[in-house]
Amino acid sequence: MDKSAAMNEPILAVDNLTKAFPAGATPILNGLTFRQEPGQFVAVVGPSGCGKTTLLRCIASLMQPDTGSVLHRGRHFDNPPPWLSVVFQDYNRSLFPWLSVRRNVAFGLRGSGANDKRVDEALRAVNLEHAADLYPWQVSGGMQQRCALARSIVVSPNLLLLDEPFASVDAQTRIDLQDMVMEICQTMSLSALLVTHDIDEAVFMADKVVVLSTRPARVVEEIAIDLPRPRDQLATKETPEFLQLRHRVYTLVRKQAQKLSR
Amino acid sequence: MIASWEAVRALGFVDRRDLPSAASIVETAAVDLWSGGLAHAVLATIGSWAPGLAVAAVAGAGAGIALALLPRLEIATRPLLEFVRPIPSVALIPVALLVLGVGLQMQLFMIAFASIWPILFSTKAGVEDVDPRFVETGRVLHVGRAARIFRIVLPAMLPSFATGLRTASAIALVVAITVEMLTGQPGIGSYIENVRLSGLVTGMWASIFVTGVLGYLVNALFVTVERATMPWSTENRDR
Ligand SMILES: Nc1ncnc2c1ncn2[C@@H]1O[C@H](COP(=O)(O)OP(=O)(O)OP(=O)(O)O)[C@@H](O)[C@H]1O
Ligand SMILES: [Mg+2]
Repeated sequence: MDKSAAMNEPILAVDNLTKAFPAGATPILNGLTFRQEPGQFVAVVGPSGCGKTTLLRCIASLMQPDTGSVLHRGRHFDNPPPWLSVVFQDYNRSLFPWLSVRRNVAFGLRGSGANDKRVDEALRAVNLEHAADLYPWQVSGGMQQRCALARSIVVSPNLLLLDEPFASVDAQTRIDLQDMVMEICQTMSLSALLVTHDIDEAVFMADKVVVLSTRPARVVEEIAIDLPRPRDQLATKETPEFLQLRHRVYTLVRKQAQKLSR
Repeated sequence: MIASWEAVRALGFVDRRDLPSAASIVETAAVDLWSGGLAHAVLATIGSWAPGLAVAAVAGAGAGIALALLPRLEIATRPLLEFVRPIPSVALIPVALLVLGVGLQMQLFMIAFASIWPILFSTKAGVEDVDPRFVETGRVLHVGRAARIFRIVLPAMLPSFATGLRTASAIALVVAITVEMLTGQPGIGSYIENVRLSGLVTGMWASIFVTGVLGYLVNALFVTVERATMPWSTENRDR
């Protein structure tokens, strides 16, 4: 396969992924399959506890699936690869409290010198220059999450995995962070895989929404979101297209929730 | 403190001559420190306390980290540790005297042996309690295994080690003084014994008072250093 062909391969091809705890028990993930094209923003929505974090961990190679495969541009990989970055669900547990915001951001960079500029750029991208010398526990939750975001983009990844990154901040901060992430992905031409249980957020941010079923999780449906970009929190969310897509995703998710309560 | 001391004196259960007034104790302490005898004893005690504690710190931290990172080593040594640890360290003084004889070497051994345990066990717990999410964060940032130990596990467990060291510093002081009392090794312990044998009641109380102050200062020193070097530890935040 020549190089240009490889570039056209999906940035992520998840094929028939299965994972059980412990191996052999009723699976958490049951034959999950979907693709992500380069530059695409994909949102995965699914009921709480259905295995979304497990899916991200399998993709990031932090965990091996029982069966199935994850390919990057047609190739297998193991160990968290350099082209991939992760923003974890509980950011306050992933920032190192003994390092300043700046040094947290620089953590994944080798050496120093030229890195200072990259760290500055990343801090500017998330609007945190003024807090660079504070410790993470001295700043607000939203700022901590921006620090985690800066740390994952400073290594220039191709794909950003986001595990419910806005779950534990207030509504206004959440909106600001959504806009910030979309803008970063746009300017860095980053692909992003966002896990969330917020349907509005998924439809608003993504090019494609992947709806998962209740446990054992499989893909119920993939919905293309062809709303134009840049998207606006007010204007976009008032268009009939947005409302229609939101309605479709909601209906699918509600069906899953009803199954769960039965 | 002074008030309760004077209250005990006033109650009269103990002969007044054995309980001098607080003022005279403090005055005698000042004089004895100034005239040199007590000051020398304090310095001698610190002179064995510090190296003994340093040995315990290095050995305890090393052993604690190794036991936490190497589960097989932990399983293999567990019976031995569980047998040795509960032995009261002073019970080993006769053995130490037999093997090492009277002297600084024996005193250092006793101090190190008695104070290694809190350091070892809190270091071990500190390493075991490092949030697995920290280590995972290191992995996704492509930090290798050895570098993860140095850049993540060690700083994360540092506050636990410091707590263990602070506990150990008090134990080390007690053992240093006990050994001095029993073997006549120079220091506060033997000083107290000497003034007692000479019938200097106020002098005895004065040296005990100085010992208390020393213990207080040692603890305060560790707390201050911990706060200055680890402002990020959950214990020290917002202080
Ligand atoms: N390492 C593990 N060992 C055993 N069980 C696990 C492990 N990791 C996850 N699970 C179980 O798998 C199930 C799915 O967990 P997961 O965290 O992937 O779900 P989630 O969709 O991310 O949940 P949430 O919406 O709460 O974030 C849970 O029931 C969890 O208890
Ligand atoms: Mg999760």
